[in-house]
Amino acid sequence: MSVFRVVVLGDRLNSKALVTDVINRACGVPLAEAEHLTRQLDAEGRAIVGLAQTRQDAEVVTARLLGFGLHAMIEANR
Amino acid sequence: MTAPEEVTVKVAAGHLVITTPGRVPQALRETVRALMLCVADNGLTGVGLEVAAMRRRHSKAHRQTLDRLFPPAYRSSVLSARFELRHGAAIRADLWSAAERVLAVLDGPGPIRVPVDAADDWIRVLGTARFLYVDRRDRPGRAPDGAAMSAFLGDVQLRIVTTLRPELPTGEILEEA
Repeated sequence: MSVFRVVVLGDRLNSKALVTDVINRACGVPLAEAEHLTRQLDAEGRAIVGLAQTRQDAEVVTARLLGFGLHAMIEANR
Repeated sequence: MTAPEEVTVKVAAGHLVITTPGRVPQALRETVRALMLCVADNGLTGVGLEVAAMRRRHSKAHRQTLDRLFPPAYRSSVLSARFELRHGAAIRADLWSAAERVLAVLDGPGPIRVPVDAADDWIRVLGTARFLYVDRRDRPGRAPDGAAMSAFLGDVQLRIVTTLRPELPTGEILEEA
């Protein structure tokens, strides 16, 4: 079981196209799933975009997302 | 700021060709320089930014701006501080380098030409530069100073993204839950 999850939080600035593009490319999520996660983010204000076994792996993905202007956070995957 | 419809983005011969009214490149240059000043660390030098960057690093306003650009990576302030120690400098250095490359292209005459494989520099720089002007939590109708510039940067970013990937969803803005 993955220990950490990477969550993207919604805001009123980023477009759906940008969020989908970044989740697709920066997280390695297939495009159709990235579109689904973007819709979830739009509806619920947050979406889990990745799971990681190590803190380091979760932080690398999070740093990448922050670099694109998304608000990403790491949570324990309970 | 200029109306978004005055900016066009096309792909031609392996380049993004961004055509803007004449005043836009200068405004973009100022914004990109402001972003570089904000993210510059002491170890980074170039275009005369190092002294100003050192001064800004110690101001409360500068810290607040950085917090808008890079919000906490954890709910725990302790873990967020450790994240900052491990990754903060690299994130800022990467962004600084991208901004430097964007600035180099902006210095040329005529339409802005960006190699397609350098488009991520623009997507990242335009996306993060918005937070020089606004907060993620700002509500429509409570438009702070700089909201127009932020919206303009977001629009150009969106045009680049959807020009490169027309299959992406339409350019609606996310709703905050």
